[in-house]
Amino acid sequence: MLIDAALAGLLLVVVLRARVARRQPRARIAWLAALIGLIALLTQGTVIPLEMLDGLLGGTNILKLVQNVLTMVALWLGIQAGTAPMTARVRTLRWWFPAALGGLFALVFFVAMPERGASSFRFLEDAAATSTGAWAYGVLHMAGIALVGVLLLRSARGSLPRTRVFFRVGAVGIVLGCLSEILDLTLSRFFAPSALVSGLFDPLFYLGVVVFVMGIFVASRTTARIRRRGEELLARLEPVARERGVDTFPGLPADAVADTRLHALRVAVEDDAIATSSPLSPAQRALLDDIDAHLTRRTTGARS
Amino acid sequence: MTEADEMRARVQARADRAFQRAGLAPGMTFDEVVDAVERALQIRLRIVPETDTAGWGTLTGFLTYFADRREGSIHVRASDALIYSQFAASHELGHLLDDAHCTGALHERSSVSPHDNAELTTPEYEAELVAEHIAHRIARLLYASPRVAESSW
Repeated sequence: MLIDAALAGLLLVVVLRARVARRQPRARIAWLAALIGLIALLTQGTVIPLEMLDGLLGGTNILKLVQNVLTMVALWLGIQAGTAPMTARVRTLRWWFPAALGGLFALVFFVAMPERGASSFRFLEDAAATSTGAWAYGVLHMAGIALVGVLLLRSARGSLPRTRVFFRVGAVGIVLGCLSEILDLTLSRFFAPSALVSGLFDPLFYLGVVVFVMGIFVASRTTARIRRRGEELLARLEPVARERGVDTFPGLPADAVADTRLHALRVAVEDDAIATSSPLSPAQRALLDDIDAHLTRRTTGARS
Repeated sequence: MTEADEMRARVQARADRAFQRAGLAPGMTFDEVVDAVERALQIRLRIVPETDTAGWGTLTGFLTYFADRREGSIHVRASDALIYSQFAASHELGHLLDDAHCTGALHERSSVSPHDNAELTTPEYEAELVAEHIAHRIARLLYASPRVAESSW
């Protein structure tokens, strides 16, 4: 159920953001994160039968490795979406990190579990109860994903204030889910299995993903609201400029964005007030203050 | 091409050259812009918010520059909104970056547009336009660059 909710959320992101991703190369990083996350969730077998997908890979649970690597890459791309500079592109990201971690996952997967049996949803948990190799792989990949989760939590620093809390709660859920799984695997292998600990992973991890996806929607809405606010402020400033007979700076580029036009007109209005010794009314001054607050909002997310 | 077109092209070219000289990048703060200008021109600069500006009239900022000491100061009105006083200061940074005209002269930014200021000689008029262009370019960098946080998701 939680898996399907996360899946539906990511599917919505992939569909709704496709147009933006096609137009803006920077937005493709986030879109790819959602797409890979979606594919990772599809390998859980809730929509497409697990046996069918794993069968394509030989029916020996290699799908589990694919799922783990895809999950890790999706979370890593989520970090890049929030922190990479504006000039970053999918191909210019530092891919060595997920490549190295994915390579380590694969190496330990095949070395520690040469015999993996037939396709099964609980293959790793079942194998880890009796095999130290399966336990080692389980702990390694969960620790790897937890590490990326911690980096994701840190990367939320640079996100928009309203979305930050969603991203943080989501990342904490993901990290705690991984830690609970490490504990569960260890108890099952070396001590007594605990039904309580076994039941923790799904609610923690997938609720984390769901909350993160909610953060994505809040981020899109907040960004749209900020853009609208800029246009509304410009629409309120234009009559003030007209009333005072003020023209904007004539050297602006023809395709100047709203914030550029807003700044230039705001300066022109204040210039006029000083040049003609006709102070702005309190309402006009309040409008300029609102414009200044809008223009001086955080310039970037986190530096990277 | 008319004389006005020629001047417009000349102003644009001078402003482009001067702006590139500073090596500015999106995401910089105003203080970082000032630092970058200092580094690019190998000079020292102070921004001085002046409180006693009752007699400034239409003046919004001015630059004093001592070429022999490679240092200068930009004076703005402390009573102005920060964005506006930074714009006035950016205009003076424009004069400094516009190499044809930073030879120790006193530069002033008036709230009266250079287009409407009949007191300016033609070279002064052109220099003021160049500085104004650069100030707008700096403002675009400071306030209208795409934000990472708004382009992530």
